[in-house]
Amino acid sequence: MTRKGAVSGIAALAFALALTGCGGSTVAGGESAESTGTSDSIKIGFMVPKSGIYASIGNDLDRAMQIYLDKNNGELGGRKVDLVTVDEGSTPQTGTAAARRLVQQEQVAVVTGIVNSATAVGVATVFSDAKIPVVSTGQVADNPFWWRVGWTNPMMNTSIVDHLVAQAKDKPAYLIGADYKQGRDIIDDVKAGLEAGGVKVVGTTFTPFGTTQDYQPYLSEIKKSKAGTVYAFYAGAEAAKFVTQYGQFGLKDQATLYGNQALTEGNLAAQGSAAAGVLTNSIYSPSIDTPVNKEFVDAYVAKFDAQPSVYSEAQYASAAVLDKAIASIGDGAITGDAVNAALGKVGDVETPRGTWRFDTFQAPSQTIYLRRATETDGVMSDQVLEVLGVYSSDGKKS
Amino acid sequence: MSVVTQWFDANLITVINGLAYGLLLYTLAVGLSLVFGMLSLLNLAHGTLFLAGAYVAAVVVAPSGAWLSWVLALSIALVVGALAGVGLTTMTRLLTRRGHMAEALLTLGISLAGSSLLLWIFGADVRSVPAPAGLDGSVTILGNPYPVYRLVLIGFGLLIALLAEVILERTMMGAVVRAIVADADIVSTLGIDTRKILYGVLAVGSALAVVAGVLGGPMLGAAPGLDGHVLLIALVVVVIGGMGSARGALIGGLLIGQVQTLGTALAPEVAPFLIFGAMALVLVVRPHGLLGRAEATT
Repeated sequence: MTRKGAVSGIAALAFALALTGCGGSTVAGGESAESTGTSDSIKIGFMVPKSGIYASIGNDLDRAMQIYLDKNNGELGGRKVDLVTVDEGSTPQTGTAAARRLVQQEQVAVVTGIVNSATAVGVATVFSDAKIPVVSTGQVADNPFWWRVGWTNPMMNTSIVDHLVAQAKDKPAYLIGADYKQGRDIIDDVKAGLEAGGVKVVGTTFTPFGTTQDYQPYLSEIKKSKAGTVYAFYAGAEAAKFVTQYGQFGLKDQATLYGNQALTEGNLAAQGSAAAGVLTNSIYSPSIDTPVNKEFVDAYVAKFDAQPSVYSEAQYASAAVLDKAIASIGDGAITGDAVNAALGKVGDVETPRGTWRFDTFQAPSQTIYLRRATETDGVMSDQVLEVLGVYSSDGKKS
Repeated sequence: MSVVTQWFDANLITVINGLAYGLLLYTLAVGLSLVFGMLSLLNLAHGTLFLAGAYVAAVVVAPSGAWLSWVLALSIALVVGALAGVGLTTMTRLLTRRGHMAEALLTLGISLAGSSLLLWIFGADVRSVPAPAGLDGSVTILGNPYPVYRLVLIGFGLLIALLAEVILERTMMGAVVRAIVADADIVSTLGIDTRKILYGVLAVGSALAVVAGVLGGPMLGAAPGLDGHVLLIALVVVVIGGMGSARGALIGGLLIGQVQTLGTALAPEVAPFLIFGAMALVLVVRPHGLLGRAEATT
């Protein structure tokens, strides 16, 4: 090959790598289960990311599911659980393949898990067309077979806006987030809320998603803006890096860093003491002082030597919801429709985060906590600072 | 105060940071560039070596951040990198007759297997790497805090650049390396065993990639996917600087460092396209890179 040909070849390759988002493992697959459901057993699809950027969250879900099943001798609602685990992967494409497998080959009665909201949106109709209910943290628009056990953007956004308007109205605010749909939705929503509440917004920035390695140029702009409050939306590796560099470049002395739970969840170990003092709102903290939570946290720590995350709690809650719904069916036939109807009548559910029930959007109305990342004996954890209130899925405070 | 000094005051930190980032990119890219220049071998496993170095730092340095552990991590990186380089050369030599595409595909396969191996060993969690004790604080430059470690990174990068300059331009061995880049066949006819030099350059280049991973650890951390990202930027640096040129890699690294930091600060809306814009611009003006030379077909 000529040298000139090589240059253009490499240049083209570089562009191609950039366009495909630098590769990443996207192999779908999963453990196969041969048995079919019998009258006293139930086949449940468990769709979690085992590979790709969400693999560590998938691990949290997997662990929580194990804890719940261990506690209940492998049963939910008095029926032996035949758990079919499939890999969600990191994209809607891999997720859809896994979803079709659960529907067509495995013919599961109900599905739980699913981390990536983009995947959730992609697979929602695959399941609802087959009348298979899904209990998930995924945020999906109206779908009668989708049961949300996590949080909704409106409840997270409104609760932090209410807090900032009440507590930090005189401080100029700066908003920064990852440049993709979820990031833009959240930042735009919080910005509108802050401005409506009379908080001065001095800057808004969106950073390239997945390719930003160094936040220094952005942090420099925040510094210049003289903001006293910073609201950031990042998750995963980006959150780890942003929070660490926020501390390194001395922004902590200038502005209090706020974000939703994604900013610190699962990242505190990597962020270390740089995260100390970061305020996040969340539906959960391992420090919530209730017997149910204590039992959950103790079992989790004993088995995995790690604190449960908000994702762990949500999966544990999914199992608890399914447990109660399946039990209410009694000896009746287990079909997707039957489980879906039972989920609609499940009423109050007691999970580690507290007691909550599904509202008409099939999402929890629940307490939102404000947490402060705190260092105790060299170990970081999110401690509950105050209760922000009970919020419904559409962001109304009750 | 004039507008110029005002601007400089406001952006000094960003410029310094671009220098640190650029020299890290140079450390990573110089090996890639020389290997390509000598063997026409596009080593796509280069990013994986960087990530391996970052994990070495995360595991070895993480517990205490002490000086000794940091020196240990750098030593491990040198050895691991050199061995990996020799291994890579051996494997690609087997495919020489099949052409450069087969070689490039082999390194692609190695990079994929390596990434999966790293994921399997270290898990999907994001790891952070502390700076060694004493360098983990910040200094104040014109009223702005800046991490001390990144200043050390600048020192390291300059040191490596100086060493490369002296070895390549002032020694016999360096002259042979440059001669091979220019025309390997002629060098062989002079009775010089080019294979030894090839092994040596790939070993040193790979070792530098792993060392860059250790050095860059406190700045970039260690996480799955970082390998692909740094490979991409290193390729851009090599293309801009001109393949086979260590000086070109230095200029390319420094340029991309500034584009990535100062460019991002000045034009955040177009940040994702900046480095490719810079690459396209350079290729339009200098199709062989800034210091690359047009050559006859080989």
